[in-house]
Amino acid sequence: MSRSDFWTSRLPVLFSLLILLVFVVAVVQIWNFPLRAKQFPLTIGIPMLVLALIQVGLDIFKPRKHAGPAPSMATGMGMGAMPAELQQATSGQGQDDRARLEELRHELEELEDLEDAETIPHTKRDVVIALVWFFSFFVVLWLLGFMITVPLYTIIYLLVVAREKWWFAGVGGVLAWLFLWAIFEQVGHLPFFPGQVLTWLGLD
Amino acid sequence: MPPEAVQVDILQAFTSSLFEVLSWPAIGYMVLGMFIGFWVGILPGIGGAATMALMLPFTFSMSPVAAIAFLLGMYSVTATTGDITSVLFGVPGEGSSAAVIFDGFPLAKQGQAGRALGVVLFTSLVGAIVGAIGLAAVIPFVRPIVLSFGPPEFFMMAVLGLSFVASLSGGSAVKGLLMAGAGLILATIGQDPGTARLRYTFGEPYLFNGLNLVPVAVGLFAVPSIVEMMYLKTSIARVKSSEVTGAMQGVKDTFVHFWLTIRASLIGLVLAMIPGVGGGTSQFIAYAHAYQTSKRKDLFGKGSIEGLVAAGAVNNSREGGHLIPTVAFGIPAGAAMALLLGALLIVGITPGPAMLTTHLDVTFSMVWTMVVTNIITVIFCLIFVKQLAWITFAKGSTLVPFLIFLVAIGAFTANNAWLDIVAMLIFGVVGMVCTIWRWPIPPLLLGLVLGDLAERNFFLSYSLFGWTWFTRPLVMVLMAIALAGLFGPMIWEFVKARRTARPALAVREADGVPI
Repeated sequence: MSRSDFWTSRLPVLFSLLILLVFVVAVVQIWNFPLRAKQFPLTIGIPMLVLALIQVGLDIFKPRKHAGPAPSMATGMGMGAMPAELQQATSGQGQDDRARLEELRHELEELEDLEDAETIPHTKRDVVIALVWFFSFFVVLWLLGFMITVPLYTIIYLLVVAREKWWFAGVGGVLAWLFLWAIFEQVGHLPFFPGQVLTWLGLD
Repeated sequence: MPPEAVQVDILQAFTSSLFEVLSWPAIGYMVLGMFIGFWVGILPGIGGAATMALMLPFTFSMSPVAAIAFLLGMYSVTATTGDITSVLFGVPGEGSSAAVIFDGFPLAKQGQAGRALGVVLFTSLVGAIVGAIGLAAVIPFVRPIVLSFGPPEFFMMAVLGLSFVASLSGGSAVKGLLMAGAGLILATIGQDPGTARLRYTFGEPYLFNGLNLVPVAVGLFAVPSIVEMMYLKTSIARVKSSEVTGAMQGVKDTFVHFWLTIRASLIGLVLAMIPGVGGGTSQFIAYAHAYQTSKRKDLFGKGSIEGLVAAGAVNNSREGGHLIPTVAFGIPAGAAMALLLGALLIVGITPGPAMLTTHLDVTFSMVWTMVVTNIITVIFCLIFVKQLAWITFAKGSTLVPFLIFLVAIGAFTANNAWLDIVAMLIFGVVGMVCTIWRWPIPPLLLGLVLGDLAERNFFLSYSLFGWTWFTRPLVMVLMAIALAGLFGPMIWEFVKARRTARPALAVREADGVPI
């Protein structure tokens, strides 16, 4: 295993360490509270702290290679553990039937991942660009507020990323603004914040 | 209450809830939910649970029946419409639609797409009705059990639900438990109900009232879906679909294999009652059953109507099964049910005994919502089945700006605070990281949803019984089941590994190869 593979296979330990830190903070923070306030958090926190230590140990000393594609972000989970009863579903079968069912089970596992990111070609650059676009909406939102950000972002995204025609992007922006204004401001009376730029300029 | 009065009470709630569901504005919200669920089921990327998280904030001002009609109407439809893309394009619109591809897509390639769609749509309807009947039928039996539960039993039910979801939601049980524990700890943020001390707020006023479910749910489920849509940039339809005719033949096929439809529906209903048992497990067991009982095993995987019937029926019957532990015991069977539970808490209803007594009409409204939405959806799909195929050519990237602003609005409406949006983004990052490094997300959400109830029941148990509450018979039974659910799969894997190693060992010994 190369040095880079060694460290890459151990990156997940960072998240395990973060989880461990959560439980350490949870236990330490609550320690001096009255019994009523700390009873439940400690009942959960102490065993979880032990489990977290075990998980960190597993991630450091026994990192797992991924058996197949990562779960889709859309579902957040893979197929799920198959309970032992599945074996009984094939009991009493001839060898051919059992083998065929096993084949079908593997196909089902693959099909469940079919909409998975790893089956559609994309690069790390695609992911980074997507993340930049996603978080930039919220940066602009903080600066300019909902009423300007929503139509502006819609038009720019449809033009630049979705590569739609200018009139389609324009209509999309207008519709988005109308939807926001009609449903959330007029009907819902949501108190949208004006945006920091407008606040700094005294226009809020 | 005397038994006759109980029966009248149940019957009254059963009939009055139908009128509540069909009256305005509940029917309007149901149709709106169905419209949204229809698109979610067909279009790529965003799934049923993510959409429920997005729609959660909009239930604040609804009545309980309207909120149920909206969310459940949306959720019921996604499983049905997800089957459409499975048949036409071999791409599951929802994870629960994967098994439909086995035989649905080959049938479509043979020019029988319409027939296949007729089968899955009608079996979905039958499955949904079986699930709804199952939920309604179980209520009179479950009610006395639930009413005899005390705080210790309810606390153990929460532990049971979390342990099952933690061990069965994919990945390792240790990670599942850690996420569940993290969710329970997150639920304790804010003011302690007993002493009013502030816990884990670090001086931040935003946290004084605790973490709001909406930004967390939206962040965990919707954000990763949307980011994935942004970098994949596809539509579903990557190949042209075949001509879609002959749907009524598919409906007739359902009646030819009616008892198989019922058996597959019952499999889905029963398995769905166990928290954490995924759609894949139910689908495979129903499919395996159809295979075992078929006289034409050679057709399975190549266009078997029986296989398609089983896969179509099991999908929708699971909804009724999921609702049983959610409504009766307040134990969500998965992420979507956790969100529905969250919605019930938002509109002021606490799942558990109240759902089977004072709010029995709300419980039965779930039954009617599932039946009515599936009937309308199936009729609509059967009529417009050809036009539906065109929707799947819509580009995911065109929807992205609208989804992002819905996510932002959704999070903002929790408390009308910018920090809700920040919380949503933080949990969005957590959701993405969890997915990449295979940490299950549903236990985290369940822990957050159940945390408050679990803590109250834990404290009440201790106050009423001291530590002897651990020795109550039902508590010990539930604890044993929880431990079996946690350690059972691990022990089984160990035994399986030993059995696999033994024949190899025997072969090496027979060959005289030194071990």
